[in-house]
Amino acid sequence: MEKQLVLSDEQLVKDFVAGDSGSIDILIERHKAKIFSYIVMCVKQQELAEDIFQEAFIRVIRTLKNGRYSDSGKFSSWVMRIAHNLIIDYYRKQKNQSVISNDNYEYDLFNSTQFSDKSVEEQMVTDQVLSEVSMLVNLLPDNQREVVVMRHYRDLSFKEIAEETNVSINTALGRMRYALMNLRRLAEERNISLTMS
Amino acid sequence: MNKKITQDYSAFEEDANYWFSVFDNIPDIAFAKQEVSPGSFIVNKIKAFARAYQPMVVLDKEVDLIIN
Repeated sequence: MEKQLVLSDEQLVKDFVAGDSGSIDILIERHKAKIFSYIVMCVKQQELAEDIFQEAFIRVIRTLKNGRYSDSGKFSSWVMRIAHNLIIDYYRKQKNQSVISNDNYEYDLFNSTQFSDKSVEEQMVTDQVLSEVSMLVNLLPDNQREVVVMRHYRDLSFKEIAEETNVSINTALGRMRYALMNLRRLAEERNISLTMS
Repeated sequence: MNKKITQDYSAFEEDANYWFSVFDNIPDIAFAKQEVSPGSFIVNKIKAFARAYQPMVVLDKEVDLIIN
């Protein structure tokens, strides 16, 4: 606590580079509100903002540990610049993605109730089921929960999950299989119905 | 298939530039008591990554080593 109040960002960066892992914790806690507020202000989506925040700090850690950081200004400005570049990259990627248009067809593929907004009741059921799934996911063992979160909440491929968790793709797939089996068992034990209309 | 852009991403970029200049000029201390934060799961993952990550050079090439 004392360290958190006394040490400057520059000193904490030096300490982290020198091997004191606790220093990065203080830097993250000290600057997370500013960096995250900036990202949210730009992208206006909590989950996307969290992805960008995470990626920004992963890059910060990589740069620091690789000794490529040159102390040339405020730490928070540097992290915000990294987050800013990630936001711009995201916009440019979105811009370059093709969007399907059915202008050339008589039948409107998208004019279907299947794509219409849900009723209030359907939305409530969906929210309830998602909340229960989230609760069940939290009951899974750490390594299984991690795979489920990465696959279904962060939309990572199994290859990416394997790389991020440093296991083989087969192990990641195996963990997902056991996670799904455990989720079914947990739902049955608690008499939870996870059917959505 | 036509390519259609339904969002004005150039305007979004301009917004991001604008907000960057605004936030960069706000002192860090102004956010000291802000409660806006990513989920604790995300923060903990980053902290864990910081502890597990070790850069290595193998055959003159930088590689990442994650020690769990």
